Amino acid sequence: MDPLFEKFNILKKKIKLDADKKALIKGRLLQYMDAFDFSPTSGNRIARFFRFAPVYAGVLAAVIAGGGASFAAQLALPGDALYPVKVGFNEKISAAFHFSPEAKANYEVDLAARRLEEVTQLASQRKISGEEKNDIESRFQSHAEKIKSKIQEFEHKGNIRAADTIASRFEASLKAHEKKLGEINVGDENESEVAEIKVGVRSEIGNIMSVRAGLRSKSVSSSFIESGDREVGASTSVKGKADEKNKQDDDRRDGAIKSGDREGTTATSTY
Amino acid sequence: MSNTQKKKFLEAYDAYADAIYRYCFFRVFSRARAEELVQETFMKIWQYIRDGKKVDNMRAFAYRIATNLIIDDSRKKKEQSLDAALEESDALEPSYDGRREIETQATLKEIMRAMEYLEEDERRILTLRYIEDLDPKDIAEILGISANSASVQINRALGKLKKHFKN
Repeated sequence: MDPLFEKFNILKKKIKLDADKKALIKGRLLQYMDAFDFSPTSGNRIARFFRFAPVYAGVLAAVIAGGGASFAAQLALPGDALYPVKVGFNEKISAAFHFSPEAKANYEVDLAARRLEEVTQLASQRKISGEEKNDIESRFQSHAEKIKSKIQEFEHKGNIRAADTIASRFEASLKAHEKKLGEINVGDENESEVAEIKVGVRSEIGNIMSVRAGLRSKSVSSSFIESGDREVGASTSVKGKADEKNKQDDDRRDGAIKSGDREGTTATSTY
Repeated sequence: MSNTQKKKFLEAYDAYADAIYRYCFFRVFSRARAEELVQETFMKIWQYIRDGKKVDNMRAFAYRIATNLIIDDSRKKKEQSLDAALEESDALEPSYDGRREIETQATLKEIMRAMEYLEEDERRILTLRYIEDLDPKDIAEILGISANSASVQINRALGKLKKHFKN
């Protein structure tokens, strides 16, 4: 081939519009379109958002960067035009505003919960296609993988407490959502899709519980090793910690389940 | 503004935004400006639809709007050599995800240098033909010229580019 055309071909393929930018521009176009089109539904959703969702630094940053459409995108569900803005832009920018490893890990737990929350809402609204279900599952999976690898990182650094805090939050969140998924009225059209997603959630619950079991055995043995001579003292203090943690877990789990029953919001995810 | 209109418009965006971006990039050699032009192009398209006007060939229409926006742009800016534009622009910076596409950048620089010897309308028609892969008939529609005229201009511009490319 003529070398000139080869060069053109290289450039043709490499010069691309970034997917996140594409979504961002689309968000702005939708906002632009809405400015001329006062449809009642868009107004209601934004009003609901104001009432229930706490604003925090990450979302604020995303909104400042992305404008009104990114704000409106927070309520988007898979299949909505603004959904790509939510997951491709808002969530990425927010992630950058979580600085510590703990904060980042907690954010991933929130995002995994948010994916399950979206499924719950979507399933009660309309039919979820097989392809959509696969997309939702793979997004959820990728958050779950990130959570697990962050837990491992904490473990390797010897920070068992942090590892278990994240693991227990994730476990509580998964269980709360599993319960919710079981309670919604799916109807025949979404029965198999929701069932498959529940299977995925159940399997993650199994994973995270065994991770926690591993962490617990590690923390017990390391406390023993640390306090050598004062074995009696060590065992009571370990027991004390375990009791305290169980209570914390119960509170968290109760809190998660209680607010999980509240429509439209979830304690385990912040918007 | 019916929902079908909205849906069709958004489908057009999904289908053509990437191409319009690429086209604009090769005209202005700036990522940021090209992104803005995509947005401006589709805003104008939406206005057109909203005003009740019908669009037969959306793809060609999008290119035409973009072309005119770029012409407006160049009228506002004072004449500037491509070299100076290269200095200023973000075209040759590493892409957003941090990967340095060395080969692409070298290639881009080569093409830009050769294009510098061409007139605006020659660059435009070569971009439409060889970057956007549009055939002369579509190009004619976009530029508002005859198909014959388009073919002639393409060949002339290509010949000129090849001459400067060899050097």
